[in-house]
Amino acid sequence: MRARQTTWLRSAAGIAWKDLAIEWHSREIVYTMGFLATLVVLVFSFALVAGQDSKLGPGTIAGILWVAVLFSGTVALSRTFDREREGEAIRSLLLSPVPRSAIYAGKLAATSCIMFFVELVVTPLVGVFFSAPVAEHAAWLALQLLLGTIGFAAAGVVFSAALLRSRSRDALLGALLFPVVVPVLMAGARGTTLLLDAEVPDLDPAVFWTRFLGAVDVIFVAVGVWAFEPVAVGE
Amino acid sequence: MKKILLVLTALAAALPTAVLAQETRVRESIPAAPFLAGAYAFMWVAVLIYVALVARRLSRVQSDIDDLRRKLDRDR
Amino acid sequence: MGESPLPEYHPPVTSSQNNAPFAVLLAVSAVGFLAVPFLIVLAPIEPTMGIIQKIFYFHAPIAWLLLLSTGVCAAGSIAYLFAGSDGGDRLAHASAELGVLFGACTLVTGPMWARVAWGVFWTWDARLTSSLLLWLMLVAYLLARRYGGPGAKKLSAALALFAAADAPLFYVSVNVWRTIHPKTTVVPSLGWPMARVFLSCLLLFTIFFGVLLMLRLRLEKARVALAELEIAHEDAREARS
Repeated sequence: MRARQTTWLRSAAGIAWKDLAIEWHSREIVYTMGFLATLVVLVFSFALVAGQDSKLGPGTIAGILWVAVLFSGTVALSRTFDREREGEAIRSLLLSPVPRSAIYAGKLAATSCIMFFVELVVTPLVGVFFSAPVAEHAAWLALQLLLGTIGFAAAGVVFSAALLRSRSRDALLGALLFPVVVPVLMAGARGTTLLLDAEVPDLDPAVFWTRFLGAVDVIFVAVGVWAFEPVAVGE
Repeated sequence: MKKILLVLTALAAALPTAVLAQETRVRESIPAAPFLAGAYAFMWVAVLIYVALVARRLSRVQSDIDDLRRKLDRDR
Repeated sequence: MGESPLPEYHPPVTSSQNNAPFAVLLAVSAVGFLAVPFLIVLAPIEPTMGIIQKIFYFHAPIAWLLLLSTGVCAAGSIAYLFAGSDGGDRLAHASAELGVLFGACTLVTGPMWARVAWGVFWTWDARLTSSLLLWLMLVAYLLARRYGGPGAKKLSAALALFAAADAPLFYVSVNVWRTIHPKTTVVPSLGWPMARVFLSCLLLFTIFFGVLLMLRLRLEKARVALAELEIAHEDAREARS
């Protein structure tokens, strides 16, 4: 039993490590994703800030951050299985004795890492652009972003795998994913708002939303692991 | 059978709209009544359209089946 | 003359086995259609909201049908994904369509009620917002089915699973989100005269849902039978040539 568990972990870690190593060398996803996230933030600031003196409230700033995460995360997800798609590596991966759940976990871990790395860069930018106190409760903010990313990717990996051979992959991925991850967006935006709001007395409401994110993650990962197997078997 | 379903659905749409319109004349002119009747009418019209679409597709497929069946029997 | 046997063809629309439950439900629905308007009109008028409250008697049941569709869609998707049941897939597709239909009705009747009761069409109320989100997910299901490419059925099935998991999450998160803002939901505590009307409407609408579902499934089964016949036709033609 112990041996099988170690093998599962090793397979999942192996898949995650391989993806991250490739990404480390090419940095393709990170650059395009980071660029897109920054642009989304900028576009929002041009669209929402009326004049020089108007300041955006913490709710708006948190919303901008999370929307940027969502949009750029879609890029990372659509690229998750791209390397396997080119060169038909997906078939050999599925034919190997690696359990599907390990593939799912590995892909989830790799995608979450890449997304989180970009968020670590974009969040200080948001703090600078909007004079938002992102450093004040940095640990809680990082935790919220991490949990939100995992929840987002948990659903996204399943849909990305299902859309592997589809021509309308890019058009459909966002359209299908966004309704599903609304609870993540809601909890994340609310939680981050409470962290950025200087007038909120204590952290309790923010902690609640962080816990809520954790609960959503558990549900989404459970459904994702379960659904990934039949979906990834392929046609 | 589909036609009966359609007729009944049409009746169910028309009846309450008429009855509700009647009721407004009895009570004071409440702005609520057009919304109530409108909501109910919308619901039944939408359902009616859907049922009509499904019934039409079903009869088309059914006639295709009959045609093919006849062709197969003839060719045997 | 080819002796290739024809496939066993059981015409789904005229077989007596299928007709009996369908006919019974249809009859009950028919009685229900005629009864519902009178039930609604004759129900007592709620003192605070007046006549517009009566939208509740059909708005709430069709909102319930939206939820029911999501559940049935998820159940069918589970059967399809994990047991390879094509019937489950057909059930999921049919109930997703019905969910989009009744969801659209919910999203029209709800704001109409809100407009009269509270002056605005949309209030980001917990129930209305969750219904909107659920409806969007069922629309996404149909989109995925149509445009999803080779893996469309499995994609939409996975979507249905997430939709079912999301349904309670939507409601809880919007509800808590909204405690900061004034709550505008007013669910009347029903006295028996009203509850009687409401429960009858709920039951009748659910039966009607069943009727529509069976009708829609017949269409799918007929399509499958047609495809089988076309294959047999091709085989027969090739055997002859």
